[in-house]
Parts: sequence; structure tokens; C-alpha cells
Amino acid sequence: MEITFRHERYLFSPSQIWRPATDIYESPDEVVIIVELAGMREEDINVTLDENRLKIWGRRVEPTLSSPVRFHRMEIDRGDFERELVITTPIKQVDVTATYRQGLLLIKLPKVS
Amino acid sequence: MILFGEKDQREPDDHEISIPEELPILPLKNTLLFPKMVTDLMISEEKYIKLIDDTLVKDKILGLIGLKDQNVEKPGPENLYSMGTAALILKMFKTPDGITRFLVRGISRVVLGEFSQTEPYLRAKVLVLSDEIEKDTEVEAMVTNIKGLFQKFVELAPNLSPEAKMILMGIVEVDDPGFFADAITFNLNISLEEKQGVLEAVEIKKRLEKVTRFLNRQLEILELGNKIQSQLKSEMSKREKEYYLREQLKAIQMELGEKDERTIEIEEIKEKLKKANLPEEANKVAERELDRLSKMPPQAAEYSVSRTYLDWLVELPWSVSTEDNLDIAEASRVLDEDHYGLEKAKKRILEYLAVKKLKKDMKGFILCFSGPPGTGKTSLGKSIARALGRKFVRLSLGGVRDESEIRGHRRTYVGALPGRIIQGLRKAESNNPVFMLDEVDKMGASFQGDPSAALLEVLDPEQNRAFSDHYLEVDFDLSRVMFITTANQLDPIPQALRDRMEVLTLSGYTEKEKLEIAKRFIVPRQLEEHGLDPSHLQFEDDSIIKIIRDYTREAGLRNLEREIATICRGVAREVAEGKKEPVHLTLDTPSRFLGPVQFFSEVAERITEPGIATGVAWTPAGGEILFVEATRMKGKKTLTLTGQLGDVMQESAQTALSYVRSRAEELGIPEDFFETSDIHLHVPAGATPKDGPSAGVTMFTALTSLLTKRPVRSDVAMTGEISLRGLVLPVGGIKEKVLATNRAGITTVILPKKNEKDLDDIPEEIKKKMDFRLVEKMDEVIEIALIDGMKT
Repeated sequence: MEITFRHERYLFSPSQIWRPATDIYESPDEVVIIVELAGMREEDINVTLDENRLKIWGRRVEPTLSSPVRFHRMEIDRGDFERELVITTPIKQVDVTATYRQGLLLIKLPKVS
Repeated sequence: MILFGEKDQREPDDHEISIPEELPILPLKNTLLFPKMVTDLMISEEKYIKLIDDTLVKDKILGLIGLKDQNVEKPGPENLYSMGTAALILKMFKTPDGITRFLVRGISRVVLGEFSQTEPYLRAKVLVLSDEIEKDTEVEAMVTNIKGLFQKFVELAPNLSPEAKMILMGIVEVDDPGFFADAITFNLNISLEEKQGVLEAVEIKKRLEKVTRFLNRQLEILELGNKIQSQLKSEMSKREKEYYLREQLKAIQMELGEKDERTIEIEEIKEKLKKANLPEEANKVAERELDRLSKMPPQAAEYSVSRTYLDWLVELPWSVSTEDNLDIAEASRVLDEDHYGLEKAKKRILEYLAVKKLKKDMKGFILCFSGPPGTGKTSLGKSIARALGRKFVRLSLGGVRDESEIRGHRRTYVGALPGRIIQGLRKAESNNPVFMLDEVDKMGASFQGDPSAALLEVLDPEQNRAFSDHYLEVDFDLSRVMFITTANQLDPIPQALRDRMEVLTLSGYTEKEKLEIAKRFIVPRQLEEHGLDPSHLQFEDDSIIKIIRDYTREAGLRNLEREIATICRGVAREVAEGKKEPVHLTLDTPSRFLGPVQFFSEVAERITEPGIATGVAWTPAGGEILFVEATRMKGKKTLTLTGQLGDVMQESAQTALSYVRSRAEELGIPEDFFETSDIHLHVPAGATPKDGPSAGVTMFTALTSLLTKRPVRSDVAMTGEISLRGLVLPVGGIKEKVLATNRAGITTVILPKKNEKDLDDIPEEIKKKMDFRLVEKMDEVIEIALIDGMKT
């Protein structure tokens, strides 16, 4: 996964968009998606569901810095991000919820029973 | 459905990064970056680390420009290409040892403008170029083509993991043709200049063209590489297979209690070596070689060389010899059975046998048969071998110009073999054969050495006990071999070589001998060869003599045999055509088969007018009659000599003339004849070169005859050298000369007195028929030769 990720992202990528790390798990009742989006303002995160396409996008804003600051390490992705996921399990669209808390975006998709 | 946030759609250019008008410039060493490509870079120089530091706190965008020359230490603006890529730094970290590593992603092509700063790092104005998306059919076709090529390329590319291949294949899915070309170029193994070329090709079509070209070339290289690889592989596996099978074979043979081929071979040689009973020295060499052989792999080139050498060693007759037949009476019978006459040679052989009977360990001897062609030299050699009960080997030396023919080549040469002497002995399978060296006088020296010098060793009974061949390198004992050489002439044989041989001259046969030989040997042999028997064809003595006289003129018997063969063929044809009654050949019949008479008695033909005299010459083919013609014309003291005369013969003509002039008065010639005349001497046939002093007497006689106007007797022939004092000096080849005069129908021969001893060699029957006049002085010659004798 790491290799694929790296290549997908770094060998050649048509766009400048970064992809936040995502967990997906499933219980008998629901599908849960957690996206790691630390240090964001809520208004900078967007989530849409179009049929079975779940799209998460937004922007992590660059911190305002100026000399004499010097970086020793710079690993945090900034700027525009986007993730698009396809949900294959039938879900109750109307009951889907999304919350952002402590740097994690939590999306709950209840299954059609 | 919006689940979070406010926006339904991202605005299209929302995330496009805007590139500032001025950028810090980082020169790229050994690499290039294309828009939308990501690469990992490393820097350690202070000023560039500062560049990165400064960039990171700002917009993280910098210009990456390739270096024209990768070896420049401190690149300035002049070392940079004018076009490069603007890039965004994605991630960065500094290692403890002061190296800054960072990941960049190309944004777009930029053209460098004015430099605004050079220290500590370059900054320059840039013009951003963006790809125009021009999607016509041509571009599409090019893209499709490149996709095909690229897929093939990825498939063929060695050392790529399946995952890597999969990722590379991902490029094919790219939609934007400009980006597509860039992505492929970025991943191709081509030179930086070529990559820069693609970077600078702003126009999409041009870019695609370039990529097609590079990709084609890379494919060719890959295909060639693969071809070589697969060839090598198949060759390897073939050899491996062979080796494996051989090993298996060996194992099977071992299991069956059999030996492998080589062991069998070596044991065979060992066996032979034991049987061959080599002398000690040779045995040592052979065993050493065998030891070497057994340690060599049979595939080695050396192996067969060594093997052949051993074959030669074991197959030579080191200790095999034939038992001599020491029954002298029996040997004599065999010799007589094969040859008529040749008493001297036969006598010598029988004497050898006699001595051998008394002294067992007698050395071999070296004979030389010299004589005209067709006198039976070679067949006498064979007959001697038969009489002695020895093997016979014949080696013709005619035209041999290379010393190594005699003594062999060193073993270091490819295809080296022993010399002919050793080869002959192997063929004979005995170490005491009769070894005939034919045509020893026709050997020549060349830059490859003189074979006659090599023969000196072979033919010296004192030295040839240890004859050393270059190939064998072990001495071989030739002392028991009986060498017989043959030659037509003795003169061309080097003195040292001639000295080693006992010369037996086989001069020509007389008419009677020829008749006997024809009756006993030639006729029966020819009848046999033509499938006839005496009931078909019988020769009368008369008819054979007629053939000898009128159809042949030779010292030997080859032409006689040929003529008899002609008759046999004629008769064979008649028999085959159904003729029943036998042919009885009498005096008149030969012409029916042989046509008109070929030779006339030349002497009779010459009209006896003054100025012609008959001489006799010696030739390698026996004696020959020759005429000396002299004529006189008005002129002044000129002597003209024609007829291809050699120096000695010309001098001898001058001597004759001088003597005539000095004796003019006594001879009854006007003393001043030469003052008013020219003399011309001619010796036909004009095309045959002649030399030697023995025509002196003849020339003197011809001159005297001319000047005294008295003809020479046509039945007189003469030979002898003259001196200025009028003495007749002895000459050689008397026997041949006498036989020739006899053949020519001459009855009186004038010979120098000092040649009297040579008359012993002349057969009785001829002596009876001919009148020999032995003279000491020229006056006696005149007395005998000129009609009316000498006028005093």
C-alpha cells in the first residue's frame, strides 16, 4: 500500500491535491469512515454524498511565517486535499452523519437493514 | 447531498497554484524535472540550503534549471539552459550530516528572464508557459502510437518488478498528451540533453515526435539486448545439456563396469607401446607423452596433437625388420627374371648379399642409379627389394624444395607431420626396407631450406644411425635401410651428396638388348594388358627390330613399349571386331599399325659435300648424333657461330679455327684465306642449346673439309676435345655416344686414344660391328675422316 501510495502520489500526479489518510470499518449496522484531518477549521472541510459516491475535499491553510524562521523538517501536507470513496453497501442515505472532532472527521453510514 | 461544510462543488481553478514572477533558481545537476513529475533532490551546499530555507517560509515555489555542462563547479547564469521547470517543494528534511533532502513536484515550464540576484543564490524573472491542449487527430494518432511503443517497452524492460511495471503502465492512462509525453520522457533512460530537448519542445506535436523517436530507439536497444540474452541462454543450455548427458554416460558406463572412451584409448596406446618395443630413449618420451595425454581433457586441442604424436611413435617399426634372403642363387634368379642385362648393378647387389652372409651386422649401403629415362632404374630398385626379400618404399624427390619434406615439421605447427623418410618407414612397416629416392637430381633448394642438405644426414651410413626428425624429436636408426637413389644426370647433385653414393651408370641399351627385353618383358606384358594372347598376335624378331630402328630413337625403352602397345591396341580392335585369324607380325606389318616410318638413318641422308662433319653428343637421354656445318663467304676475318652454342663450345670452335689457320700450309690451304673470307659454323638443330668441348674434333674436321674442299666420309663419326697443339683430348659419355652412332648406322667412330679404357663398357655385339679408331693427334683424324685422306 505504501508503495502504491507513494507512486500514485509522487511519481507523477496530474494534480496538486493531497489525500488525507482514511480508515473504513464496518459493523453489522453501519459503515464508519474516519479521515485524518488535523489542524483544520471546520469551514475548510467539505463532504458530499452523490448516490454512492462519498467525496471529501477542502484545504489545509498554510501557516503564516516569515524569516528568520527556518524549517528543519516539513512533512505535513498542506493546500488542497481530496478523497473520493465509493460505498458498495446499501445505506440509508438520509441517516448519514458527519462530525469533525479532535482533528478527525467521522462519517457514519447506517446500513439498510 | 452536502454532508459537511457549505460547498457543493470545488471551484475549477481553486487549487491552481499561481507562480510568482520572480523565482529562486536551483541549478539541477545530473537530473531534470518535468511539470507534474515528482522527484527527490539532495543538496549540501550552504547557499542552496539557504535557498530552500527561504523558499519554505514563503510560497515553497522555486525554479529548477538544468546545467549545460554537468562538470561546472559553481554554476552561474551562463551555465544554465534557458528553460526549466517551476516546482513546489512538497516535503523536506535535513539529515544530521548537513544534507537537505526534499521532494518537489513540477508545476509548469518556465523560460528564464533577467537575473535579479546572483548571490548567495540566483534569482530570476520567469515566464510561465502552459501546455496548449490541442487535440487534433494527428496528436491522437501519435499518442496511440506512443502508447503501443511504451507498453512494449515496459514489457521488455529488464529488472522491473511487476509492481513497478504496473505503475509505469499507469502512464498510458494519462489523458493530457503533453503531460503524457513528459511522463514517458521522465521515465526513459536517455541522455540529459535529449530530455532537455523534450522539455524545450513547448509545442505538443514536436514533443510527441521526439518521444516517438526516443522510444523507438530504446525499444531497439532493448530488443537487441533481449535477443543476445536469449541466444546466450540457448547456447548455454545446449552445452549444459551435453555436459549433463556426458556425465550421465560416464556414470552408466561405470555402473556397467565399462570404461569411458578415453580410458580405452589410452590403454590401447599403452598396449601398442608395449608391443612396439621402443628403444629406451623413445620409450621414455612416449611414456611421458602418454602421461600428459591421460591428464588432458579430450576436448582440448592439444589432445589430438598429442594423440597423433603417440600414434606415430608406436607405429614406427623401431624393432620390426624383415629377414634378408641370403640365397645368392635365388636372388640372382629373381634379378634376371625381372631385368635383362644391367650386369653391373646386379653384380653389386649379389656381392652385398655375399658379404651380408658373412657379416650379419653389416651396414646398409647407398647406391645411385644414373642413366637416361626408361632404362629401368626404378624397376630395378623394386626387383632388388624382391630379390632380397625386403619391403620397398619409393619417394620421388622431383620438385621437392623444402627441407621439412625430408625432416618433418616441428610439432608446434598445426597439422605437423614427420618427414617423408619417416612416413615411408611407417608405410614399409620394417626398419630395413629398400628405400628408393627417385629423381634425386631434380631436387631444388628454396627459401624453405635445401632438402639435399637434409639428405646428407639421411644418406651417410656413419650418421644415419641416429636420424633426427623434427616431428619425432627422437632419433631413429636408418642404418639398416638400403637407400637407392636415381638420377638422369649427376651434375645437378651437390658434390657432398654425390660423394656419399656409389654411382652405377645405367646407360642406354643396345639394339640387341632392346630386342631381348622386348621379347621377354614388353611383348608379354603388353599382350596381357590388352587382353590378348600369343594366339592373337605374334612378333617376329625382324618386326621388333624394325620398330626399334624406324619408330624409336632413344636410349631407354619407353617409346618402344608405347609403339608395341599401339600395335596391341590395333590388333585388339581387330579381334574385338570379329577377326579370327591371328596376326603374325613380320618385317612389313608394323607400318599397318604405326603409320609411316618415323626416323630415317640421318647420316645416309646427308650428302657428302665439303664442310659437314658428323659428331656425337651426350645428352641426359643418351647419346645423340649431331652435325657441324661450316661455310665460307667473302668477307674479312669474321667467325660466326650459331646453333645455341654455349661458351665452352664457342671457345672450342675458335680453337679449331686457330689450329686450322696455324696449319694451313700443311693442310693445303692458302695461308691468307681468312683475310678475304668470313667463316660461319652452325650446329643444328638450332633451337637446342649445346655446350661442352667434345665437339672440338668435329668442328676442326668440318673446317678442314670446307677449306680443302674434300668431303667427310658419311659413315664416320667423331668425338674429342682439341688443344691448340692439335692433340685430341679425352671426353666423357663414350658408351652412350657409341650406342648413338650405332643406332644412327655409322660404322666408324673416331675416339681419343685416352678413352680406350671406356671401350670395355661397350657390348661385344657392337664392338664386333663397329670400327673404333683411337687417335692422339688431329692429323690422324683428317687421315681417317676425309675422303682421299690427307694431302701432303
